[in-house]
Amino acid sequence: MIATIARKELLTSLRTVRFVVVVLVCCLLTPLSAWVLSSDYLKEVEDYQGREDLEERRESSKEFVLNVNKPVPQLSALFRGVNPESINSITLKVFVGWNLPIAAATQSITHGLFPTVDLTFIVGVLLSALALMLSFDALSGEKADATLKLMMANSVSRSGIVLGKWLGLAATLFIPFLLGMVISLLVFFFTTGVRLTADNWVATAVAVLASLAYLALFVLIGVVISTFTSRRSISIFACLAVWGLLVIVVPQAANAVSEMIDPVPTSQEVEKNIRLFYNDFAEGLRRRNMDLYEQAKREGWDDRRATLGQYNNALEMAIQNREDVNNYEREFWAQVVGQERIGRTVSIVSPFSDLSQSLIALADTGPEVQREFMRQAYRYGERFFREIHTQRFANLAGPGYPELIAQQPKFSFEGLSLTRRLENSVWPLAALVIMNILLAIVGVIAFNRYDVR
Amino acid sequence: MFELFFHELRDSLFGGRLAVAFLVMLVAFLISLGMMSQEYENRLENYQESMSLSADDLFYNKVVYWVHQSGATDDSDTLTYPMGKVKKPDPLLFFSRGMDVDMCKAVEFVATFPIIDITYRPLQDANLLKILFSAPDLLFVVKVLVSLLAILFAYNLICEERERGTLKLLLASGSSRTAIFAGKLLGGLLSIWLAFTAAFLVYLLSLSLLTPVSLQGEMLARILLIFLTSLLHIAVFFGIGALVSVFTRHSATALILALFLWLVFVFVLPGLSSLITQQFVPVDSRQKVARMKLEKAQEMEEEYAQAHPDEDRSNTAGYGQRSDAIRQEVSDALQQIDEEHRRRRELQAELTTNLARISPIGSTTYLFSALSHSGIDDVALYQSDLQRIRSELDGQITALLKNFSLQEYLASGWDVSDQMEGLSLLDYSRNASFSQMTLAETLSLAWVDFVLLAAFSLVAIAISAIRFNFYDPR
Repeated sequence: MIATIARKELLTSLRTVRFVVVVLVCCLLTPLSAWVLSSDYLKEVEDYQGREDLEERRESSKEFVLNVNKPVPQLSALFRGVNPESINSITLKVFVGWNLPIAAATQSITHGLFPTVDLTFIVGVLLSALALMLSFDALSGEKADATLKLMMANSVSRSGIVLGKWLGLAATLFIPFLLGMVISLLVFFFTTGVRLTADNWVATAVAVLASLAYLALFVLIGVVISTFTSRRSISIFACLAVWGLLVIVVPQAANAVSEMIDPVPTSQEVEKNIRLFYNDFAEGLRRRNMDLYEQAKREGWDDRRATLGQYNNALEMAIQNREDVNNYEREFWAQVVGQERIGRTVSIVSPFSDLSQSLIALADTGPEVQREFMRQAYRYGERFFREIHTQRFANLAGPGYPELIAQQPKFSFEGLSLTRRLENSVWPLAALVIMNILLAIVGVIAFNRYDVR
Repeated sequence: MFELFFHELRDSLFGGRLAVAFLVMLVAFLISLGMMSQEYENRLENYQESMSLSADDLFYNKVVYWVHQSGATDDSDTLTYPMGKVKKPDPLLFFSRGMDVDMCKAVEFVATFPIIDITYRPLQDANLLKILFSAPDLLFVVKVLVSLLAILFAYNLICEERERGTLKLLLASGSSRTAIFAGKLLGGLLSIWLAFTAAFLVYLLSLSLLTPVSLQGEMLARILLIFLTSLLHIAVFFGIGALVSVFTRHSATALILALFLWLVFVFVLPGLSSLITQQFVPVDSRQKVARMKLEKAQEMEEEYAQAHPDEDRSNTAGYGQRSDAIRQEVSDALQQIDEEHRRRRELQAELTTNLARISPIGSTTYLFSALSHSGIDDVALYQSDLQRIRSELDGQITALLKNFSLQEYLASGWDVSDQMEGLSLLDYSRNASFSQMTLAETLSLAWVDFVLLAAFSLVAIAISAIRFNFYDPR
């Protein structure tokens, strides 16, 4: 019975204007965005290759620095996440200071003015609104047209009607969405010539499932709202309000709340404190070298001995300083992660925020991979720093800094493993599924009490 | 006509529609105000932090020279002056964040003798979720919510009268169709304008009372223009709604159509324009430009080194400092690459700007951001200011290098601050200010968007008025 209603619903809505709009968005806008973001992806990859080539030749060693680079996640062409804003190259310095992060800069000029249209945006903002427009009058419309009574006369169970309507309308949306998704993937492959890794195939499949769950949820919201109202116009206004709340207000408010509950220091404050650490280091070193210089003069040391003494001073103090700075930074990042966690927990009630969090976690373009990259780069940098100076001081007559830097093992970063990506997306995904189930129950109960006259 | 006008106005005044619109806008405005004031305060705090270091606190005034017994220095013969500079946040941020994200970076002038390099440090929030969902500025509310309300005020202007059968009665009253339409349209438009004005005034009042922002001088003029922009913006979307209402026969169909148009104009078209231009006028990324510059400099220096094998070359290749003889030449070549890049970016920006104007949202966005000192042209000004500061610093540092004496440094008890004092680079970079566009300059660039918005609304209204003359009232 459910199947019959679902089929009828699907066939009816295939002929509506709303369906044509959905098809247009899915089959024209989605591939267009995939096409543009694929060429962005190519540009980013080219950049990454260029930076890696420079590293291969160790050009930077002449400036006493080493750069570590973050490869471009394959799926960033579909789900941008924080990728365009994220730090993809960190400079490790042998002497003072060590991270001059450079943010990727392949964005469009007006990126601050208009939202980037990627798959997350299309599904999360556009298709969710269209889903509501498909389903807002599922029951109230039938009632207004007086066809609901006829349907009930056919001895269909009430829950059958609700679920059938839901499935039929969801299918109406799913068909063009899946079609658009396939076209976008083809566009991506033909534009970039990239072969997705097995991990990314799995991630894509899960991302598609997450999108389906999200779209089904919005169809269901429309159906449920229509069981509470008896007029089309009231249904649509209620749907609009719910959409605005869930898609626009809650995600933004969640960040504000997290910031109020758990403020973190501003970036310049962090910067300042790190500089003050360096300042202490420099001041201490200056004093000790000054004393050493006087002592060397008094005792008539030779050049080698004086230099070695200064180096030893520097090494000892620099390592101490590096540790202080590291501890400070670690503390800061822990605070930031804590704030993010609060934001996520608060915004779990918003399906849009669940969707975007699971999509970017799966595509490996979220905050987690950014942190992991920084963590690994810093760990590498710490080892690099100790190694280089120890080797240099062990043999002052031996190879200089540039040569030593060039000998360092290469840094490589692969992104997060599939398991971790799935782990990060599991809670938002579960939230989406649970919301679907709960709302379906609400819908069935509400429709059982619905006055069909 | 006037009767209808007053009737329409009275209807929305006492029918509750105006009150609902006012309340919805007010709530949205105040939410935006709350979130933006949090952001503004963070920014201000950040700016103050960046200014709170005194010269004595900074490591680079206590440069540690590693000195050999013989008086020669070791291989670290460079001094590094990292000077962070953060632009002071503009209070107009509340109205539109615009391209502000491009201007709120901490800029570091890293002076590794004798070359100064500008490094942009992303001054983004460490909390990356804020990139995904940033706080809504007033522009966002106007773009998304106010336009929706305007469309909703107008979508059933005519077709509902038809549905209720009152349109026939109206037409029978003897007034001309144009007069009826004009009366209804102006009444509706004025009522949403009223609701917006009231909400906007409360917003301004709360802005001046609840936040540290003080409204004065040119800022007031800019706010007035932002207000006018919003009125035009409302008129455009009201016109679109009216258009829908004369092309449909049922208000339910009209509603769906109106919402689709809203989605397309607000969310699809503006994003589409930048997608398209990105595809057709691609611009190299900053990283690629940096790499190209490095390679160019290396190539030139390599060439020079082969031609002059006997010259001493101790400095690093690739920065134009390897040899004084070709320093100027190299820096000119590098500047040319920068110039080329800048030209392309400008071309792309121009194309995107014009394409985005297909949707009235484009014009509204440009007007809001230009009036809030965060438009595309303001970014260009900011960039040129950075170049200016950089070249001035460059001159000072070159002078410092000439005067720096190691002997004096040793004699002064390893204190370099005496020699630095005359230069006070820190003070310089701190006091060097960013210039701001005057209102006249902004307007000379932005008038076209005013014209476009006005034209858009007039065209929409004119078409719907003409169409109404053929509307079947049965």
